[in-house]
Amino acid sequence: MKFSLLSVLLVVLSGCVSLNSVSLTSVPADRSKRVAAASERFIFMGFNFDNDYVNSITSDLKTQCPNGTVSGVLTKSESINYFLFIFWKSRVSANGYCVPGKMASANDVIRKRKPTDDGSEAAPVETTEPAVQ
Amino acid sequence: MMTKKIFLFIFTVTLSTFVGCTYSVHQVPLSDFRPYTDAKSGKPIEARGSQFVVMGFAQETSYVENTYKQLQNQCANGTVTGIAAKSYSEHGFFSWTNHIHMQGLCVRQ
Repeated sequence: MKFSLLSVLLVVLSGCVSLNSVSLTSVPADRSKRVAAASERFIFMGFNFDNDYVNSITSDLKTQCPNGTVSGVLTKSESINYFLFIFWKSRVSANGYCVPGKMASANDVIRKRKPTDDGSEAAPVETTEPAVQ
Repeated sequence: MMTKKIFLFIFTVTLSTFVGCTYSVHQVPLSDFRPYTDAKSGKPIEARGSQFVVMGFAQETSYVENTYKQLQNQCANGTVTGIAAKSYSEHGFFSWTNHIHMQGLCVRQ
């Protein structure tokens, strides 16, 4: 009896994870400080009226890196399906690195134009200081 | 006639078990290119990861993080930029393998 109950509980409570999407940004050279944030929501029979739970991730990452740039962010969106897909959990997690210093903006980009042999306008060569020091 | 149908059924099942595989690409996200340097100056690096799943039973998706770490380890003192991460599945009989293939450019300054 106990074994049956335990088996049923195990089946009900164990979830099967599936990956929905992955996104990433450039990884900085300085990877000394890691930052991570995650957010999840339990959904019953598909009743979900908003996706606001995702918004906290950005602010969480900002809080962990107040005077730097968050870079090298790997974001994963997963679904953890429980018993018979009646209820499931949506989870979004983000891991990255906090790099001290400011990020290079578009205004920082120095555009240099090189003359071409045929006199046509050459494509701009973009050079800049390193984005993060 | 019935024997022929049974044979065809068994043949199809056998074929899908051992030979018949299908692939589906789920997504290919591409990161930004930063810093603004000549693409030729970077060194192409890549990492692959996979996870075998039987009938949907999987407890984690850490193969993604492991692949990402592998990619970073190949560029110890540089910036990994222009990362393309192809996520796809290879389907088998009641099972499939999730793959992730990350390619990037290691730029050392």
